[in-house]
Amino acid sequence: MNTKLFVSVVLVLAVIAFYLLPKTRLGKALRMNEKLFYAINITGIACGAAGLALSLIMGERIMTGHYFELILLPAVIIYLYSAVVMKARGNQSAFDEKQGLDMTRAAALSLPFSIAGMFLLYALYRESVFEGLVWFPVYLFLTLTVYSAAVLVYFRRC
Amino acid sequence: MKLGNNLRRCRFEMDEITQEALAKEVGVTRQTIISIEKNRYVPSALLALKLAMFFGRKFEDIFYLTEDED
Repeated sequence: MNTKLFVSVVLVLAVIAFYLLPKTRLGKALRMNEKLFYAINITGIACGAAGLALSLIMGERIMTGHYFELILLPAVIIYLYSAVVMKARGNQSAFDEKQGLDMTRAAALSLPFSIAGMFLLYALYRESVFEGLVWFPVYLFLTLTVYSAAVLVYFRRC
Repeated sequence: MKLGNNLRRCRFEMDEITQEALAKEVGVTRQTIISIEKNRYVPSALLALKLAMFFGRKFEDIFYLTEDED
């Protein structure tokens, strides 16, 4: 099956689910708990690390073959699930206050990492180590890995 | 100055309620309760008041100001 078509269909279904699920009984039954919080971030680390490794091994093939969308898919689905839970809960936050703080701190840590990563990529392109579109999956998966790992470290560090 | 607390003592005085059960009662994760007990996380006023209400005590019976160790 065409990967582009497959990912497009999944994304369309995901958007529909995001708007329709919270209005159903199932939507009200969805819950965010500590295990799911771990699952979100472990999935982020797994997808990010796998994507980063394959981007470095396969180079531009990961983009032209649309493999990066497939690698990213589990993370997208689990993030979408959490978005559905948040939408279903309305004003009531799906995360507790420390989880919120941990995510904020992880985002603040990811920013300098992603800037440093971009400078490194720029240098690698200038030295012709990389070429083509490989910067995109490398940057994307690096940021995802750092962010997810940082959230877990902050959350566990208590 | 930093915020100290008697949360652990309060738990033990209330039939040794577990961190998990306390977390469930006030709507947070167990990690949050652990962090508060270890003084590594300062709870919001809302959460601090929820904890005080749960233990049936005044806010200042559970939370107090203390000097920094360093």
